[in-house]
Amino acid sequence: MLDLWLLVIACAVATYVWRGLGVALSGRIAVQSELFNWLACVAYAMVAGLVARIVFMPSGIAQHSLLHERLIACAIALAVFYLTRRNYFLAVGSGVLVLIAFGYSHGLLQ
Amino acid sequence: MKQISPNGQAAAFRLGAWEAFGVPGAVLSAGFIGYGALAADAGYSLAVMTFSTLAIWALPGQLVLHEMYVVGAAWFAIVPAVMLTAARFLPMTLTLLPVLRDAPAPRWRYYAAAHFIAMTSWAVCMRRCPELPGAQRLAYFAGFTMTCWALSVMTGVIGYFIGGSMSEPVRVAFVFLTPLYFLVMLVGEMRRSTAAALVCGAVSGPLFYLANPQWSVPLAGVIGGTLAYAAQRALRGHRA
Repeated sequence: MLDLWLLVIACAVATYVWRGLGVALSGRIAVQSELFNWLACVAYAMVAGLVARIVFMPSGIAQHSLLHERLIACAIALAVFYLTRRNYFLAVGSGVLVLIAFGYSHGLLQ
Repeated sequence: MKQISPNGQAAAFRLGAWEAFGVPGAVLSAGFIGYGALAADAGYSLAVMTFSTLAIWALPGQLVLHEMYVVGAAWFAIVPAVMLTAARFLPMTLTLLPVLRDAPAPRWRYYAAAHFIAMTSWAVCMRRCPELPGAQRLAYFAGFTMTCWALSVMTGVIGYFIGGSMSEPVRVAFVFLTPLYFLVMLVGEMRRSTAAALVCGAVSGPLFYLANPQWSVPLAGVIGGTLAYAAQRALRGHRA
C-alpha cells in the first residue's frame, strides 16, 4: 500500500506541474495576442480529443459497453439537450439511462 | 442559470458554491461514485482513494493511474502516462487565468486556485466568469470548484462502500457519465471561436490514440489545435 501512496503523490505532483506552469507563464501572454488564440485552440482540442477518445476507445470498465451503444447514448443526450432547451440534467440523465438499458440487454440476450 | 450579480466577494463565493450544486455537482458525484467503486475493487484503502481525489483532482488522470496500477504497470510507466493526460492543464490554465486575474490579488492565490482547475470548473468558469465583475471572479471560481471538490470526495467515499452492490451496467454508466457531460457541455456551449478546435481535437484525439496512446492527448491538442487555429486565421483573412 505504501507504493500506491507514493504513486499517487508522484501523479499529483506530475499533474500540478502543468497547472503551476500555467500560472507562472500566464502573466506573460497577452489575451488579445495570436499566441493566446492558438493556446485556446490547443486547450479546446486537447479536451475534445480526450472526450472523443473515451467515447470511441474507452479503457477500463467502460469497455464493457459497445461503440454503437455509446454513440447512441451521446446522440440521445445531445438531442434531449436541444429538445429541452438546454437542460443538462435531462440530457445527461437520458444518455445514461440509455446506456444502462443497453447494459442490461446484454444479459437478456445471452 | 441564475443571473444575480453578487455584490461582494463573499456573495460571489456563495454564488459559485450554489451553482456547483446543480448539474455540475450531480455529474461529478456520479463520476466519483463510479471511481470509488473501481477503487474499492482494486483494493485501494479508503484513505488513499480519498487522497487521490484531493491531491490529483483530475478524474481522467486518476482513472489512468487506476487502470495501470490494476494491471501491475511500473511506476515509471504510470507517472508519465498520468502526466501526459494532464498536459491539457497548461493551455487550460493559461486561458482561464487571464479571465480570473482582474483583481490585484496576491500571486500565491493564483497558484492555490490553479490546483482546482479541472475540466468542469474550466468549462463552466470560462463561460460564466466573464459575466461577473472582475474582482469577484476568483471568489466565484473558488466557491464553485471547492464545492465540486468536496462533493467529489464525499461521493467517492459513498461509491467505495456501495460499489459492491452496483450492477455492472450501472457502473459502466456512472463511469461514462462524466465524458458524456463534457460532450454535451462542449457541443452545447460551442461558439464560433471554439468550433474548429473542438472538431479538430475530436478527430485527432482517437486517431493519435491509435498511433500512440500515451502521447495522444498532447499530440491531438497541439496538432489538432494548430490546424484549427490555421483554419480560423484563413477564414478571418478571407473575410477581411
